[in-house]
Amino acid sequence: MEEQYRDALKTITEIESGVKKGTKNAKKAVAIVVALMFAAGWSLTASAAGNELWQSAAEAYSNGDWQGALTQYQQIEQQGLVSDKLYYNIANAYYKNGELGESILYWEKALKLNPSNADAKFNLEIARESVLDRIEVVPEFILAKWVKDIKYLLSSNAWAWVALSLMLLVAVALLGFRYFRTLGLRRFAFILACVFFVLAISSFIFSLSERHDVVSESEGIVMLPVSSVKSSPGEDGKSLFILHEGTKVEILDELGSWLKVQISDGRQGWMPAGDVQAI
Amino acid sequence: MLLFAAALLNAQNLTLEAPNVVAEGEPFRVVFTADGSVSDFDWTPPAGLTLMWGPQKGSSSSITIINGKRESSHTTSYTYLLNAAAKGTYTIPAATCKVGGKQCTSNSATVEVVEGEADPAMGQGGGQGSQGQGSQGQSTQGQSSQNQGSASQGSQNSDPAITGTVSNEDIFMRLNLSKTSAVKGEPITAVLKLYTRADIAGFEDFKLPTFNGFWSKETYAPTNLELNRENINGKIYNTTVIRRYMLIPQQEGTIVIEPAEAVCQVRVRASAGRSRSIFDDFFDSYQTVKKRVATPSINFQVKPLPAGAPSSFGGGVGQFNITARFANDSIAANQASSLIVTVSGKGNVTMLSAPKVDFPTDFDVYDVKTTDRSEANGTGGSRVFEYPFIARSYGNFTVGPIKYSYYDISKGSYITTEAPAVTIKVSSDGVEVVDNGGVAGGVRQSVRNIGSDIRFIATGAPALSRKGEFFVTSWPFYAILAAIVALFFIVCAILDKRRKMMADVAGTRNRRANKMATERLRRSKGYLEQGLVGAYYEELHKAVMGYVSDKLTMPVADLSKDNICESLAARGVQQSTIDCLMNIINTCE
Repeated sequence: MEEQYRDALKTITEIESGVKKGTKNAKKAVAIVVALMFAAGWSLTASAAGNELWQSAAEAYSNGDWQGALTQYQQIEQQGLVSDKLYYNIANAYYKNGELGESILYWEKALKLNPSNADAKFNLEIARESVLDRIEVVPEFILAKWVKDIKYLLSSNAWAWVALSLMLLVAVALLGFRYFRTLGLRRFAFILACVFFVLAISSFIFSLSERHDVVSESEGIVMLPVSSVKSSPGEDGKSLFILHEGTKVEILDELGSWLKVQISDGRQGWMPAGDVQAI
Repeated sequence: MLLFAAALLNAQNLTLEAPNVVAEGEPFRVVFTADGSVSDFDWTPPAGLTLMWGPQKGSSSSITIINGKRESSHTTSYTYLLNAAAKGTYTIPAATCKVGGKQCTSNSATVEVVEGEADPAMGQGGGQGSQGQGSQGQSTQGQSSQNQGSASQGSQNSDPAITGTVSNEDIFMRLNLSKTSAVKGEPITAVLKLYTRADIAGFEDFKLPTFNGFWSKETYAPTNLELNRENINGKIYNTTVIRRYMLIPQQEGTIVIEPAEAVCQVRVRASAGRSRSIFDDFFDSYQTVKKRVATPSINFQVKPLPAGAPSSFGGGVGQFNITARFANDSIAANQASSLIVTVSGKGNVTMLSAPKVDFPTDFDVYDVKTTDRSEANGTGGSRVFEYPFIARSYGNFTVGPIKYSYYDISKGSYITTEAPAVTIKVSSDGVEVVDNGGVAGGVRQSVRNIGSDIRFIATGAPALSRKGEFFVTSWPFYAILAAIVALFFIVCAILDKRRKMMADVAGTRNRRANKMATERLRRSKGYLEQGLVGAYYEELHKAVMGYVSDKLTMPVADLSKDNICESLAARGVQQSTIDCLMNIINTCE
């Protein structure tokens, strides 16, 4: 009697397997896409060597060997590797070594890469105390300032990830818009999708613009103890004002080996390119 | 009390007084003085000196009553009159005696005997009071163009008393410096001395040097001028120290010391040119001549201190020691005490700045109080720095070691001394402060900043990336973006399909056929185990027929063995399986 039961089970399974098939392709596709996303993520975090140098440099710094630490950090930099932490540590080593201009340059570099680096901000404030030039900053339009404040909350890479996450949310909201049953929910999902999309686009723009800040090298630090700003490019230009080591200038233009610079109170002039180091 | 002690001390002493310099053949006095009654006095004149007269024993006693206190003193003196036959330096040996039953030994002295000039000016050495002179000292004349500081030799002797004039050589003034060049801050002594061979009655218009460029201090300013005899270029002068100074150069380079000037009133015998009456011979007629004397101006070289002074350098030049102690070993919290740092030694003590002391941060430190204790000659002493403080919290606190650097002239380098660390115990003041709604506790205070520095380096993983590489412009960013879009469409497709499936009932039944059949089979198996054979077959039949009905989307009523076979075969089910199914159905029925 047991036989019939077993036979029935077997028969049903066989018929089932014959009739089914298909629908699995969709799952496969999703799996591939997710795998692709992870692969892309990993490809970013995988970084080259330099960790050993990083460790030994930190040790040298702890022991008060600023010069030694500096040399090792510079070796990492020469390998073409960067990070805000690397710039920050280089700046610290420079500062301890008594090189004010260089240290300010590297803190600014660290902040360019990651504007949310609080340590770099703090140290830069301390270093600026020693800068001789005090320039009245022209107040900015309040909206522009807000946008800037928001932009400098995160680094370029962080904004890129935020943009991706928001795009994912847009996709989810659109799905909701498409498949929710009640009209109210669908309307809500649509609005949500629109908001997320706008935010995603802004994040994307922030990310691109921060990248542009770094790539364009539009700001510089005066590296010479004393450097005069002239009215025209060339030695025979009239000296307009004098800047000291560590002062930040905006680089507006370049003509031969002369840079057109603007200080934060709006005054402009020309400086030899060697006197200013771009951030 | 002090006076009494001094008297006691003096009573032990037998002092010898003798002139420093005498002329050949000139009689001079040697006086031994002792306080108290003397017995067993013993002294013999040395060889080379002949005893002309003496000893003459003298004694004097005095009684003073001050505020009803009566004090008496008794002095005994032995006076010898000696004469030296030949030039040279003679040592006058010490004398011994018993004063009040105690054995005493006097000091000894040296006497220099120079070429005879008969009677020197004033004729009395050893600080005796002046007597009426019959014999005025001889001196040289004709030294008009000479520098006052250098008395030239070989001048002719004549008597100023006769000429009625006073030459530059008879009276001059000098400022003697212990050094002519010094390091900035190095203390030197300057002695303003008057050299005279004439009889000085007094001074007028005394102008002391101003010492511009120096920090100066008078270390000796006598009210009564003391006369001494000195041999200057073979001549005997009466010298007197007018002032003694300590000078500390304050600026580098050449400093000119302005001359000191004075107008001396010199008593000379009336000019020989005047007609002399017979009375003049009896009553020596003197006139007072005014004579201006001045020291030469001196160029003083001041070298700067070498570079490389340590940070703890306090401006000291010389040799110093530093000690530190707390005024109290233990205090209560919120109580005032002080740290006392003493720098002592030889050098410009008065120029020292307070050493830097790092107090514990909970100490309130107030302004340093500075006290000087300089030695009589002014070149040494100690400077006491008192750092008053109030300890705000309790515990054991250590201050120091306190480093202090000075410039050592003899070594020519900076030396750093150190006062060892000192510890003070601050006990709790025992005052319970009640705040925060009655919760007993210490006085809460905000965290104070005592220094600022940059923050430490980042120590975590460096998160390095290639330079100029940004996520937003890299392919993974766009890959992920594309993946999100793709995911959206895939999910859309899946959901669409699902919705379609939900829509058709047959499809649903079809998909649920397997599930239903499995459910029924399990139930039938349960019946079999309970031994309900009829129920078992019934359930088995239902399962199979139900499954086929669902799969083929045909009502159970329409099913027959024939159309089951046909339909299954049409859907590509193998024949053996169909047979097997038929078998089961047959058995069940």
